[in-house]
Amino acid sequence: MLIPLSARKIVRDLIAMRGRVAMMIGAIAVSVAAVGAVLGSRAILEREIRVNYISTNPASATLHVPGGAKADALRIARSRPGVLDAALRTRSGARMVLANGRRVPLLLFVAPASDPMRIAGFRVERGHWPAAGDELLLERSSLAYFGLHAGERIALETSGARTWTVRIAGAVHDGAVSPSSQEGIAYGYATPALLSRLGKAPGLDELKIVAGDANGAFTNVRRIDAVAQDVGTALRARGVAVTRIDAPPPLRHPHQAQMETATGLLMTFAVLTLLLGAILIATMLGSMLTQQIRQIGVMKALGAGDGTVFGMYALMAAAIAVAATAVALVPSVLAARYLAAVVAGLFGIDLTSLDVPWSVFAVEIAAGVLVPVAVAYAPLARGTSITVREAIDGTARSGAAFGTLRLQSLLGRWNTGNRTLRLALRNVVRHPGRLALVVMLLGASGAMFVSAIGTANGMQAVVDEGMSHRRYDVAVNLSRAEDAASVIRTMNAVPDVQAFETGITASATIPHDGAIDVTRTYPDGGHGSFTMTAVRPDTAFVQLPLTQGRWLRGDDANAVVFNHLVIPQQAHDARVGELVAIALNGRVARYRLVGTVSDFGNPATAYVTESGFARASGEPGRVSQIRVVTRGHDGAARAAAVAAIQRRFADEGIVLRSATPVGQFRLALNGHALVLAQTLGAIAVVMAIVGIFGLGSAIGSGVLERTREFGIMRSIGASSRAVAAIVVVEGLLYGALSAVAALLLSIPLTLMLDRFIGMQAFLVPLPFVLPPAVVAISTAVGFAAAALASLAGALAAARLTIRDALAAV
Amino acid sequence: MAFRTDPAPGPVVATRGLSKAYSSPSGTVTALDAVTLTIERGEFVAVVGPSGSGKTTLLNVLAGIDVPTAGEVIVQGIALARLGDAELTAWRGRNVGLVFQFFQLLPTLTVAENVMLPMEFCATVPPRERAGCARMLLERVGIAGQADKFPAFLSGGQQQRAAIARALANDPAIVLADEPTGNLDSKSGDAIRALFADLAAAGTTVVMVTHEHSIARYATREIALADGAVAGDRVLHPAARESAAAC
Ligand SMILES: Nc1ncnc2c1ncn2[C@@H]1O[C@H](COP(=O)(O)OP(=O)(O)O)[C@@H](O)[C@H]1O
Ligand SMILES: [Mg+2]
Repeated sequence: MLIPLSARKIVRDLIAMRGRVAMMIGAIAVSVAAVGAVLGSRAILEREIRVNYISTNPASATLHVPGGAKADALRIARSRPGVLDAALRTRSGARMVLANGRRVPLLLFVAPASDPMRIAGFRVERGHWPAAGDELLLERSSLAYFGLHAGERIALETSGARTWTVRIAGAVHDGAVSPSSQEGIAYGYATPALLSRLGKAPGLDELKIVAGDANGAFTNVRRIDAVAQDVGTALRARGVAVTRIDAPPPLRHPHQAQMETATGLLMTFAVLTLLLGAILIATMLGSMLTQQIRQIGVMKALGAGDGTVFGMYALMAAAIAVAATAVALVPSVLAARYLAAVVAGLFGIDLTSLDVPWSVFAVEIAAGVLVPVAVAYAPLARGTSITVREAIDGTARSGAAFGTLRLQSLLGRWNTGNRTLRLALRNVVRHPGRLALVVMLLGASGAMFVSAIGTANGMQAVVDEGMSHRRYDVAVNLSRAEDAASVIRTMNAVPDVQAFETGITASATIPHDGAIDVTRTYPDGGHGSFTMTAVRPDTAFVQLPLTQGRWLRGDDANAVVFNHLVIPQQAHDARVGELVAIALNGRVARYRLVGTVSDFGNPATAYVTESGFARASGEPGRVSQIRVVTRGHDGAARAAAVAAIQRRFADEGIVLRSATPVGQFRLALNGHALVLAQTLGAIAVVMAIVGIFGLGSAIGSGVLERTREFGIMRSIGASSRAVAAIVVVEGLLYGALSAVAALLLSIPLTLMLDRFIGMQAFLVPLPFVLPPAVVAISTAVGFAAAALASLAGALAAARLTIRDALAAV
Repeated sequence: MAFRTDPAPGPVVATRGLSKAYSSPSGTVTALDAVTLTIERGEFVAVVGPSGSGKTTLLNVLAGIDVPTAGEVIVQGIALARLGDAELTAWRGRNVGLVFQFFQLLPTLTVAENVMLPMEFCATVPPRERAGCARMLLERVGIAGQADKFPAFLSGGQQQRAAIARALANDPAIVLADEPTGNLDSKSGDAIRALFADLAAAGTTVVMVTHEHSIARYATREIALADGAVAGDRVLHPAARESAAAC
């Protein structure tokens, strides 16, 4: 095999520079792995969402037909244009009594035994569907989370505190619901026969439709709304009452937007890291060309054309990029799987397979090989196009003589004080381009790191703020509105309650003239929901910060205050000071919007006074919500209060939907903030590694370029320690400049992340928090890393003998 | 191996009114001043003169590395001014052998590989014959035993011999050497000078810049430069005129 000499030279040069080459490969590999991990996890998540959610063939819209619809409603719906399929279902609530006596809310999805389950379906994993009249199937996340097993019998509690024992006939997987572990509620699947047995009306009051055409289900909300309105109007014309349409964002998992936001953010930073890493490699290759300038000159003098020489060094860049990409592949797959699992866990997506699609490898390989080579093109073309004359002189474009730049001449004039520092400083400003790159990379990674923690702190602050507005210990929701006097009497009998306050809340919609009310609520009834809540204007229990206008007053029968989610999610055109119409169960009332508040942790809510609520509900003196302040405020006291409340209300025959200690809410939000901070932190670490590799190779190149200079210094009496000290101080100077850059960058970056993540998660920017301790610690870490990165170069410089140094050509 | 057409009749090198001026921050420097020369095939020309007298500039202009500000250079009947950059590179690779003061072997290629490099760049010798060719050239300069070593393991004199072998790789019409012995002890220096004399005797035209007085024993002609102008031009020994093929 005859390997061309030019290729042999390149391979041997790479081996000769193995330390620096390893650093370059490391830098690229780490960033390529980051890109691959994000791409891979995104591909896994997108596919799995499809498998989980889209495969349930979710309904485009649900029409509410109170009292239950007859079979001809189904026929009418199916005959309307744009309706691909329709089904009649219902939902109901009950409570499961666990072995330890704990009661957990159960959301029952009910479908008739005759339903072919073509739409809004689920996958039966154990047992069989349809379930018998005394059976139900449970979502598998409910079984796992509440420690239940198929085949077991379990007690269900309904209104009137009556208990029935039913059998858990099996497990289903329902991709359309967020797992029990996230929501704290159980999902059951049963037939109307079970409802009758539980003493509930078995009517099917939800007409589910899939809107679409020959190309499949519609993904456009307006088209879905039009079909749903048309079906609703047709049903009304036949005397069927339609009160509301729920049309959630089409074919999108309830958590899909958040997932896309998270991975999109990661992608941005991974690509940024790869670009910065590639630019750094390009400069390193450029500096290597400067070192090899005489060799290039010799090759040209021997007849090598520009193209030949360029080809040789392009081969070198390609070899580094290919090696880095090869190194990155396996870790990127592992990281992709890990990341997918973390994000899936966070957003309640079930992963059936962790296979990374081939297309991801293709993109990763293309990015890993092409990006560095493309970025290296310009410096390589410049470095290899020098003339023989320039090359032989060795003076060629290795940069203008020192002193040419203003900064350099300024530093040249500074000649008092520590000599090591002075020399190191002059060396650092010798290659302004390289300096800028290293500072950019290290600065960006430092800024990322600080911003990750800052953003996490912002989330924490949001949680704290959300908590600080909840000046109570337990939130109780009744499963339906009850007479205020009996609820107050019941509460008065609960021990260890210091104070409580009642209110009422109900699912609301913003009506549109002539059309049936539409909500964007998902079938779980939580995601995308909109409620109207009555509070006492002078409440001491809930104090929400005003963002516009004013809070409610005692005599405000016509006023409404929106929380931060209402305008962006429900009432886009509403303005403070104007009238807005809100409907409760089809009854429309008009209110003047007097203000807006921020209200983390609650869904879109319209706050009104009790008299204001009664104007829409038509039923004054009712209560469905109680906020309780207990004597003790720790977890145990709250848990005891929850148990006592559940007992008291059960005795009185009042059914609770939930009784939740406020700590639970904090726990969930903390979990989200932590995962986010961890992911941002991981990307920051990746950037830091790339930056440190970059600094290491920049310093290594600097030492090699100055071999002669160091030799001369040694020959005029500098000790090897003095030479090494100059290099380390150089590293520290890079570190110092990077720390300044990181600090300057971290402020806008944190603001950006606060805004981005806040808008995605809560629809308002997160508060800006940047603890000085974090800044101080990351600066210290940065300095240590810079010193470490310069150590190899310093040792190399110290080991140079005068003879070696002066003989270098 | 006939990879070059027969040399054109007439001198190997002819210059007319060759001048080169550099402008620098401290003013214009005239490095060459109306130099007119002819060098015949097989001559061993020593270019002498004080530092800064324009010796290197002359060599660079002859090699097409530097462009004269006035006058012209004709090598083997080809006016260098008429060649473009790429043509000049190709032409130089095939027709000019360059030897520098510092040995300029590529450190990560073996001695033999260094010698084969011009053959690869100029595609002059078929790939399979290059190793044999390189060995012959190394034998000719007396270091065949060092063929597979890396340059760092050779003495200065041996490295310079390798560089000369490499300069001969494409059987150039002219070898240009800029102070090739400047960095060697006098014994090694003499051996290199003798090697150049042998090459010239075998028909290779050699132009060598030097400071050493002992050159008079080896060169056939001595051109003295002063302030960029020819200050002396004398024949030392008659040049041999026989021909020899490299390989
Ligand atoms: N690139 C250059 N720019 C400016 N002046 C130069 C350059 N190269 C050579 N010179 C000047 O030209 C003159 C001749 O230089 P050179 O040919 O190197 O002399 P020699 O080789 O005889 O010592 C000197 O005065 C030198 O300073
Ligand atoms: Mg000179």
